[in-house]
Amino acid sequence: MSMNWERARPRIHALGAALLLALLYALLASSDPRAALSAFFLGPFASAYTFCALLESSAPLLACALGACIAFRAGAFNLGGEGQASVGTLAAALVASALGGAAGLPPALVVAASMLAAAAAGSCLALLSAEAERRTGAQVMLTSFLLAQAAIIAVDWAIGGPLRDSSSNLLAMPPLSEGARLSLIAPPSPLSLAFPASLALAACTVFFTKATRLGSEIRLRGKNPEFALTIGLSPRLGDLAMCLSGGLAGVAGSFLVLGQAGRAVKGMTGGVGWNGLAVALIAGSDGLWALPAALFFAWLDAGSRQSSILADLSPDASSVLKAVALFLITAKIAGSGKPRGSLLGGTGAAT
Amino acid sequence: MELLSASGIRKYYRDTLTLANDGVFLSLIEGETRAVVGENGAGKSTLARVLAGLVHQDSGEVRVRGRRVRPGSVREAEAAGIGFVPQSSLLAEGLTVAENLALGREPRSLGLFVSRRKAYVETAMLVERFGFRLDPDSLVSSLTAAERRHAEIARALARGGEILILDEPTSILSESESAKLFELLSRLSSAGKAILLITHRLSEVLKIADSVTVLRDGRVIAEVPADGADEAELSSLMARGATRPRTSALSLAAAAGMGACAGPPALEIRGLRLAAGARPINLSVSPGEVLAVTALAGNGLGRLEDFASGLRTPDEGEVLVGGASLSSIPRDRLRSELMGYAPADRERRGLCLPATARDNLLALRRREFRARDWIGGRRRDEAAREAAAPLSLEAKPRQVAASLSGGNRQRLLLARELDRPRAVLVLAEPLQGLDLATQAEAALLIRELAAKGSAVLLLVSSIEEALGSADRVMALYRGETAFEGANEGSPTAASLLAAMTGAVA
Repeated sequence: MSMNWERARPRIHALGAALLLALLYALLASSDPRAALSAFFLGPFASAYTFCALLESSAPLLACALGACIAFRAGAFNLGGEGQASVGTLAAALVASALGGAAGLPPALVVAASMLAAAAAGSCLALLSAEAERRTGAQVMLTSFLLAQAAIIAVDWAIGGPLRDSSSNLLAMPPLSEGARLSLIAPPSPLSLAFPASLALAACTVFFTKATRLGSEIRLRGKNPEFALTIGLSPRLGDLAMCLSGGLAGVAGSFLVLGQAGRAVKGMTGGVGWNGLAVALIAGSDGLWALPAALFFAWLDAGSRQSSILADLSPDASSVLKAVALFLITAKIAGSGKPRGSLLGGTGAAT
Repeated sequence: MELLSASGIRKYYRDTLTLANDGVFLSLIEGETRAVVGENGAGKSTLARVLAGLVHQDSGEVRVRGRRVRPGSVREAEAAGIGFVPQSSLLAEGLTVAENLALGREPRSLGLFVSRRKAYVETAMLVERFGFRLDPDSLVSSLTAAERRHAEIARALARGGEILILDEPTSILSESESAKLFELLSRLSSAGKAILLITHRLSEVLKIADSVTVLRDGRVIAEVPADGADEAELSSLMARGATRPRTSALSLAAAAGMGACAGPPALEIRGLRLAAGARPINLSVSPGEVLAVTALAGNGLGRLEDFASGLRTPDEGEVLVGGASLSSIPRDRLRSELMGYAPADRERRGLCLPATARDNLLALRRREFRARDWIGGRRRDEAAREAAAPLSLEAKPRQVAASLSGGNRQRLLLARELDRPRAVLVLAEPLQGLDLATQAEAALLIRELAAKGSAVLLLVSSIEEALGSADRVMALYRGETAFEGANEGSPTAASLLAAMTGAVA
């Protein structure tokens, strides 16, 4: 079910309102609103470098959002994206450093293996929740969140403790060799192959959810799990969705490690999982809309970074604006009285 | 004195392009019971929802005791004394009956704290006064369908309802439960309450109503007193295309009956225990045979449905399809090839309401489509249109199933499950919500599938339906087989009812 204009409109209104609010905020908070505004809105486009940085930062966000879209579509509330991305960073860093040191392996293979390892790590974490729900009835919404919180602590401990690069002042693992990283597309900017990879993931996700039998079955399960069982769909369909969702979040973690940073840093996920959930909500769990929504969020981040450097605005502005956009969207949809535009992209059930 | 009057009610649904009500009028006096009858889609439910303030009519007005009620306002309708009992229960599952009745108008002690005791006492008094069969302290989730109906009516009364609107109140009740409900309604009407009964079951209407309004295609076709009204005449008034031949669904089906073929059973149930401590039941259905199992609510019919459909795996006993244990057959293959299954719980189990009619119709045929079809959907649209045709389902392929009327939902469900002669058909209350003409079509379709070799297990709470359409009949009482035999005139409705109520061993 693609998002039609009627469903897109409240979202676009809300994003517009968030931008207006940014305008107001700059007028009030800055001594030089003109400079602040131009830095905020145009800063990310001011140079090829800043624009490339924006694109690069959208890649992990998009991957997480796609994961959230699939889970939501299946009616599985995977709130563990942050933790799944976090274990993804660790797995990618471990595999990349182990294989990167070995002579003779082609870089493409090293990178692919690292990304797969990250996906597997994220999947496993997500599958634990799915299994728990199927066996004991513990809700995915709770267990995915709790497991993720625990995983984040464990990963941070590993990166900041036993795996830490003692020659550096950072709480980080040793930098990866050049061959074990995603190649930069436009040096010196941070834009790497992570961005085109995320676009490919988006294309695959959209194809999977809209053009395959399995994708349509996942959607049916999301709309009515009992019906799904009645028509003979496997009870493991939810596991599959969680597996894909966690895998995508794990890949997001590998983007962070293998791309810009080139190493695993403690706390490097920095809310990408949570922002991914927000992007999925704004996109109505539709992979096609996740791309513009992720770019929009990345733009807000880049804009507030720029305006804090070039003008006297706080770098926290983007968090506030993202929150406002999300609030307006959820409120608009909830308040419109049209069940058709349900938050998670269902078609609504009114009798 | 005139309590309720409605005039010129018009309502057009833009989504579905239907004119549901077109100048409908109606009046109710104190103590009157009026039935509103009509086929599926005649506009009965829309009228009820307009009166209850749930639907904002395009034009026309509703007056209570001469005072105009603001359209589309549930609150005003309630304040004016209109109590609505919807077709599907709207009670809070986790609360007790008393708490449900108090919801939104909780009695307080010291003007501050919600008083459960007062809520209990108020409910108990209401139960006592009108003779409800309800325990104020029992959880709604533990109530039977019949008790839920009672609780809904009690809630409407607790909110000061003087005018009760009941939308298909007996659609999911067994006959004895319906009879009890009607006793309650006649007590209410002698206490001065006005009752508007929305239904398509003509026979019950004539028993209980004082007057009848017949709707067809959103218009009032006739208003007649129930005394002396003729069932056949009313049903011909209800029928669209007034000259369509109307024969009883059941006799038509029986005429087409072929009788059972010999052969190994397609569906066999051995040693299945339906209730703790009950004697296990055995049954088998051969290809071409229709076995009807009937029971009053709470006597194991629902459990039998769960086991026969394979949604639950029995701890004791086994269910065999074509000689193979049901649990050993992959669910997907079972449903797409071997077993058609129409659940009694249509809304939760049988249909995916937020999905389109198309997705619902083709839910068992998912493997027939390729990526191109999933994207474009034209081929799926066509397949859905073809699938909808046999039961004259009125739905556009991409219409959301939730927007369909109850009768059309049932057609949708049957159209999917009866699209081919699968080895076994498990059909629970297959005729629920259907008007007479469609009942006949569906019954005929079931017979045809049996003739093509399907073994049909009918699970019905209506004795008439059981006797009317089956080769063999079985009755359950407290989870045990109370009667089993060929349907050749010997089990009469009375003897079957006796078996179902435990009157004979």
